[in-house]
Amino acid sequence: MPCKLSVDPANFACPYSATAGDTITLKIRDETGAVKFESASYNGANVPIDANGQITITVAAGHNKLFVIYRFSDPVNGSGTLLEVCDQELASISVNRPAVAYMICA
Amino acid sequence: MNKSLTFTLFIVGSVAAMGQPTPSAQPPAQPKFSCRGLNDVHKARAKSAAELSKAIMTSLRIDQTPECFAKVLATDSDVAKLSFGDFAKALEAKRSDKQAGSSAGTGGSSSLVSKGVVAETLSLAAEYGALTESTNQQVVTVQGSLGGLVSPLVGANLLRYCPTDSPDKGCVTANGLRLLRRISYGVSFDTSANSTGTTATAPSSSSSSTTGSSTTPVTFSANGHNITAFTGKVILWSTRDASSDKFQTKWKNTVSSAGLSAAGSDLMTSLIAFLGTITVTPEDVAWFPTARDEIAREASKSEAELTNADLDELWRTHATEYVNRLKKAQPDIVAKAADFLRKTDAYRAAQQEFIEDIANQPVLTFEYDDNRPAGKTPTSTFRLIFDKTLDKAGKTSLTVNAGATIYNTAQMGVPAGGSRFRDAQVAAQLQHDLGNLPTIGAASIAAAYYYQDQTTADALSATPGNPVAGVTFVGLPSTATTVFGQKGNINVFQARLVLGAGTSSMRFPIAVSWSNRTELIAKPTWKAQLGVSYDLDSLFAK
Repeated sequence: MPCKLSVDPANFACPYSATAGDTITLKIRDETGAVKFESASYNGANVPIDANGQITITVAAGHNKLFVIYRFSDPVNGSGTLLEVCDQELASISVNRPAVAYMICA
Repeated sequence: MNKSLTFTLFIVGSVAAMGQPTPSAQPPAQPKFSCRGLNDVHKARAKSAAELSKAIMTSLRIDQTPECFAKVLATDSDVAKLSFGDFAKALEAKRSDKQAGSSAGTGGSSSLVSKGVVAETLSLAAEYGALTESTNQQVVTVQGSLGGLVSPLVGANLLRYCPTDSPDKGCVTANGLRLLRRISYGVSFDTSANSTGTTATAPSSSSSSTTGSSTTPVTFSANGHNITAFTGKVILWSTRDASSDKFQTKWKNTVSSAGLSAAGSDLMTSLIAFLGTITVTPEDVAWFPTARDEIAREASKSEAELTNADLDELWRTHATEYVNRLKKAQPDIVAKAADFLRKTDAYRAAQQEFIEDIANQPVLTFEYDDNRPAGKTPTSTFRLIFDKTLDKAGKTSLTVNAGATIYNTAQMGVPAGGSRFRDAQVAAQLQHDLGNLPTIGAASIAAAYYYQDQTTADALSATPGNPVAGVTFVGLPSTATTVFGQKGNINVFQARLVLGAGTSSMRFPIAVSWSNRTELIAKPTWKAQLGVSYDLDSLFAK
């Protein structure tokens, strides 16, 4: 599956870019312990977590934040990586940062 | 109370006082900044420059590290909050399932039953009393796990940490750390005053005649051991370990609890309120690379040149510049940050509770004690320990021990061919946590029973004329150098109260026991045991 998100960590304003209307599915790779999406919200709406533990959003025009709460089985060292389903690495996930947001520009 | 116990209390008192502000004529310094979100930057210091840069960029985005920015924002506010560090400390301070003192049977222990779980980092304990022994002893015990030795090295970047499936061999993996956490050690020191005797040797006639001196050369002959026991424990089976495969499978298959879902929902609302209205300004865009490059330059130095605490301070300096602009643009951002911090703590607490609910499982531990009691032949005790929580709240627990003891060598003063098997033993303890009591803090009560079938009588080396301190022998020849105990069954019952001290991890076990006999005296006897211990896990929890 081709990747739809562009990642540029050095771009403070727009670290993630995509085309408006693209459908993007995100998943988690466990590293220390297991990590799950607890909840997600994008463009003013809750994002459901599917049976595979993945979330899917349709990219909206403009600058919009994807808000995510993670749940960790290891409350001390838990960690993982957020991936697009094409296996592109998007961000590190850490038990030290259970609630985060990702700015997606389109 | 003698010197050693007083000294230990002093150490414990000093440890408890760590972190407290010291009196000074200078105005109080601003407290050091600390935030869990920056731990990822600390870890990245041991990795490549690219990984370090990535971690620093993540730390400088309020979207990615909102908790740390919220801590900078909320510093000026008077919003009371309980940080996760405080929560973790409070959680450790509430625990009463760990053994801090010496193992049962090492002499001077206040515990009739050994427990499988010990402090991960380190615990110190001083205990006074006796259970199956005839005379009271005072023992200081230091315990910890091997994981507690390695984790700080990883934290200090002296050892690298890597994912479990990493092909890299020169690093510590999660599995390696998990294994090390299951292995614990303990050393008990006999601090009783009567552990050393002196023997005067008569001067030779030649030395007297040449020197004309009447001085008697004295040789010191130790009849005791300063180290009275070594203990090793291996957790054979535990699904309480939050990093075990079985636990993770169960965790993945368990739908979020109502409490965790509610806390997650509250946190999401607070997160959106906090970050949802923050926009990027041209000043922010200019600030980002400057802050990144300066922090990266400093972070690339060795920890001897720049500690992680200093790095955190540097991060706070840059973050303060950012949040000052934010406060001007959004005066209500401080209140939002404070709310976010509270909701984050509540979420972590709910997550911890969820984990404990599904991890409330038995632990099976194997213990080996190498006992070196004063005046006796060293022994080895092999013991299986089973811990099980009996209620969902984890307040009532059952601990069962089964073990056997052998003499390491043939007993002194016993003809060759004597049995090396000393005894077999079983014990059980029922413990109930009383929770945090007003003014006292954490408290628990326990009732324990211990049965020992001693098949071989102990031989004690004795000083002629004063065989065993505290025991009077009738009809014993004044030249006797060995006295024998008695074979048979020993039954001991113990009632034990463990008191805490506020929210600290200091514990004061006070116990009273009754036994049908002791190793030397074949009469029923009442004894008391007391002690003080400090579990440093709560001190290092962050």
